[in-house]
Amino acid sequence: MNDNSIIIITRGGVGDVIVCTPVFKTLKETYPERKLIVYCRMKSHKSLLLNNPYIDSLRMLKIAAMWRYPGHLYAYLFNTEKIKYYDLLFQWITPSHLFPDDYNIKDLVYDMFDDLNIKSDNPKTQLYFTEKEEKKARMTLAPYKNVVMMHVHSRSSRNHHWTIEKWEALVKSLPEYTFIQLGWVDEERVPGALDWRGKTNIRDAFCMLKHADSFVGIESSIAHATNAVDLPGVVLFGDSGPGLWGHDNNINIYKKVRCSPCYFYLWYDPCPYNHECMNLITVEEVRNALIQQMEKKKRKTAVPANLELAGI
Amino acid sequence: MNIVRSKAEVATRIAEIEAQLKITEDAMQAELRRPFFDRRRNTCQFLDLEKRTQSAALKELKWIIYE
Repeated sequence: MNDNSIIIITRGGVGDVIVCTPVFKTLKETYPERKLIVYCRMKSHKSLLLNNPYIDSLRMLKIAAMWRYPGHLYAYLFNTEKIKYYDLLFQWITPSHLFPDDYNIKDLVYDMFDDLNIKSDNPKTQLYFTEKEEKKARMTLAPYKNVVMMHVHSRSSRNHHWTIEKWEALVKSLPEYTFIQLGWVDEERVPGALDWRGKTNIRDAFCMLKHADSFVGIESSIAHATNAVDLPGVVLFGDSGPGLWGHDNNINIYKKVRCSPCYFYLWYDPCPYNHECMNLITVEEVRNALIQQMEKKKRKTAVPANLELAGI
Repeated sequence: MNIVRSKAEVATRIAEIEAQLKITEDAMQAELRRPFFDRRRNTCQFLDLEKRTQSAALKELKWIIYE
């Protein structure tokens, strides 16, 4: 078997794959002579990793798509241990990883490759878009001002959710902003926000983040994607901690209640108490954080006065 | 870490944990009232873990204050 390749299998949800993206760059930079092969469990994983210059071969982990790689197909079917592969799965995070405040999920991904000795300081998630996608996103958002992307639903845990009434109150309290709700059609709708649920594909939605002014939402795949495009956003944390799942570009609102983080215990089950971790977060708090992030974005994109005078 | 030192602080902590234990037990009762096959496995495991840790903490604190 060819030892010159590094084989990776993506698992979990879309967010899990996004937080794994920094490792591809580091692997390729550390081992440029080795071929990086990524097998995707789902189509959404593959579409996220498209155009990534650090991946040599992007494939689907399906029997019908693997007939061209008989060695890998054999290993996949008969679970042979002859092929070394890396499984990007967070299901078995030990509790010791849950509690240190400075241990981020991106560091954990690097730890999964402990035999390859790779390290990176402050890794960032990475998404690569084509010119066409960028142009489409720019054109779509051009008619709107002060665009705030919004995502209020998580498929991994219902305890991530903030009440729709509070989201509605937030939208109503900031009439000068254009709130655009992203997500799937079956997710709950926020009255007052532009409803773009199910109207964009996953790549278009992430590309639009690049041209938006801010983001507000719960901890979800879109919140992880903001790190890739360096978008200042506001992310609400309840049953999962910002130390592990948060990113530097966002203001992470988290009420450290006694029983939180409980995500790795309860999974999709509802909170047996009164969901205090999310209920304690107020609309006013989120509103102030969002205004702060919008100001930050404005300062970042503002044309310096001397250039403006010179007409540049 | 918040280390309690005086007897009054320990008593306060005991009251806090007892109140929390009561909430946990109520949640357990609510889960037990559901039909057997409708009970949520992760929730039951979580509540059991909570009760064990709170009971252990309570036992230690009571030992400090009374022994």
